[in-house]
Amino acid sequence: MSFETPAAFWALASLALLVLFSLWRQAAARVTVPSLALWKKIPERNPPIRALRRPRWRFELLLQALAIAAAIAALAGPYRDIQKMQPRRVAIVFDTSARMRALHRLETAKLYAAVLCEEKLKGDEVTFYDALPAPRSTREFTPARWVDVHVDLEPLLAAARASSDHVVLFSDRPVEGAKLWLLGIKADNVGIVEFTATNDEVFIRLVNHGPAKPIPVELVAGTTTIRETIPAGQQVWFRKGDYSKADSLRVSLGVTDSFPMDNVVEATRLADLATTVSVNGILDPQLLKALRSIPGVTLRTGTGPAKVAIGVDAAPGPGDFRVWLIPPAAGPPGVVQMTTHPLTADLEQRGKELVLGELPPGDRGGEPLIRVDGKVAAALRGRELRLCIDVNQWGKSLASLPIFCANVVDFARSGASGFAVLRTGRPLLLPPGTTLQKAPEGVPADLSPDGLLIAHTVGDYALQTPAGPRTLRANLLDERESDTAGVDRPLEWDPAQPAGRIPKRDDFGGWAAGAALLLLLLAWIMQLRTE
Amino acid sequence: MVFDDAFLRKLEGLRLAVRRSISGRREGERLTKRRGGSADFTSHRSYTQGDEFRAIDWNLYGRLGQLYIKEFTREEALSVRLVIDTSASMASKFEFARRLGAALALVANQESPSIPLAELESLQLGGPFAVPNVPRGLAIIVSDLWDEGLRSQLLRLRTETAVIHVLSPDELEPPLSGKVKLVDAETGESCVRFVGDEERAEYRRLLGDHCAAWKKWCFDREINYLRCASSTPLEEVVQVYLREAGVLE
Repeated sequence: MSFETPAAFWALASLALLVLFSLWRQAAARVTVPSLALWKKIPERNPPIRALRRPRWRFELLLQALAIAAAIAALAGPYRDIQKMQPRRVAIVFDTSARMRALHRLETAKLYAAVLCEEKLKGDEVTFYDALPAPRSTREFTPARWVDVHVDLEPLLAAARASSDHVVLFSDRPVEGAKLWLLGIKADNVGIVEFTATNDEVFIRLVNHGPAKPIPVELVAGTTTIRETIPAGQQVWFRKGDYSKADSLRVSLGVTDSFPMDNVVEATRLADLATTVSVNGILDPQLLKALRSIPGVTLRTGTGPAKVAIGVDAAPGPGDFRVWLIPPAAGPPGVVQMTTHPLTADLEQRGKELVLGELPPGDRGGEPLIRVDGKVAAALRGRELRLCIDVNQWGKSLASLPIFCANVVDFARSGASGFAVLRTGRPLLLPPGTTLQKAPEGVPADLSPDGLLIAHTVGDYALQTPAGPRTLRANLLDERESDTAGVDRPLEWDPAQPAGRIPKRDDFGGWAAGAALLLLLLAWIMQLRTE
Repeated sequence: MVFDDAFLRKLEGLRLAVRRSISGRREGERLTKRRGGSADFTSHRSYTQGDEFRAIDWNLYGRLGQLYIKEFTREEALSVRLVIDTSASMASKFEFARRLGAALALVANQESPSIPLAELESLQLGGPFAVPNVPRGLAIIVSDLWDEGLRSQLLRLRTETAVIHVLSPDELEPPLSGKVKLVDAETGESCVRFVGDEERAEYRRLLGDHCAAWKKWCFDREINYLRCASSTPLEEVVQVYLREAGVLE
């Protein structure tokens, strides 16, 4: 038996006070006599001191003393150590991002985790967390799978922290609030992080985490193959040409690095390009310029019939897809939240550029796409889009305007225009009537009833479109995924150290406190009975 | 209440003693002041209106020329009323008082069955106690005499009276010490006293005065008084103390 606060036993000295107090205020013994007639004639006097030397034995005094002793024992915190250590709640979080496939790091992480559980976490309550791509947890050790996207670790770590004492993360990204097993690799990756393909031009942007060097590049457009070398230090490469006859465009880098997944990108033609766009109301030059630059777009002004009809501070003309651009009433821009949708693709990081406002009450119906300070700024209702935005500010050479225009035209075309570029984790609207025939092995792709395809694994997806069968490659186009440079560092926390463990113990403080209360109650009852 | 045979035989030899001529309702062994009944002539007295003509001594009238009435004594049974204090203060002595009463009843019933034993059996302790009116005969009061109002009740009795003052050993020698809360058994009134040697001596003195006062008060009024402790054997009380006190003979 041990005590957390042995000094509390000094309080036992108070028992002496109890005895003294009891002597001072000794309760009179109750005696029933036949008559008080004679006793009343005997004068009352204080007890002599010698009477105090022989205190009368009282059971309630014993109970009170025991109650005090029990209360003091409870304060001292009695406990008994048990040899067995208390099981710890440990969360093991796997970063299942695509880059963890480089050099089989995810497999290595799984191996390390298995050894850790077997040797140092035996008897502990271990929970495993990963994302596929949604966060999930399991009590059984299951080999973590990967997804070819960048996994946001924060939701995983928050869930792990909420239910665990220790969080162990296997990743190549250092984060706060977790015991990290860093699995970095050497900085040698070269990859494609941006890719656009039109009938006139192919464009790529590169990252090179290794030393600067010339990078061979190969473009395959149908039956035509073009090979060039990108000079050392150059981060973009484009090639103009007539690709209108090509069914697909494929760009690959001729490098050997530790992460080859981002060395190849491919675009596939899914639909016809020709699209007429009409603009009514305020004819903002930047808006017109952005629309005109979209391949296949024929621009008209006024309210004539068109596939896409846009109205700027005015009603758009008739069209298959109609867009209202409504100027905001007043007020500074607030926090912008965007729903993942083809119409907001690539705009997520550019919310600050948008001078938005709340839609008028009559225009807020439908699916909210953009909110500013929680208020609906853009809503999609069937084939009608309403956006409350200051077009004058928007058109001041900001990239978000041409991106928005391209999204509108692509969406109006009911699917990917011309060459469609599918990115993992990003939705792509397929032409109506398209079905998914085959997907690469891995996490299944999502194809919603309204034709939105989200692929989680890099590879070729076999589609059946109204125009015939197509093969659409899902590309990994994420700058973060290519940032594989890091330091390899084992877990700094040693779970086998006793410092990391809490010894299991049986506490008796509660029992002692309960006994004190019971004894006090008994003493009180005895006192009542005596009086 | 069960008495052994030996004690019952001793009771058979006893009878209640009366100092005065008593009167009862039934004829018996006791001479009463009531005239007539038996053949024992006692005296003459002058005739007064209303006397029976049959009682006139015509011989004396012939000699003296005045009317005189012949008086004779009458033997009547002794009427005994036994009164046992049933107040709460008698708790420690009640059983003794009942047994004493039963013994006296057995003695009295030898002359005339005037005290039903069943009444003694049914006596219950508690409640207010008062001495009933006893028109004639002998009244025997068994009480602890803590009620001062008892004096006036006894004064109302016009019969020969005997008071048996019963005290328990705890009353004679209280086994108390230290701080004590004393509660009156009848009124519930209480007082706190520290009881030491001084208090016990003072109590004994006051109790002696109390008993002496009752004894003198009874003596002055021709009331037989006997004090006894409830711890005293009943046989000793009956055979010795009651005879010494003149209650039994």
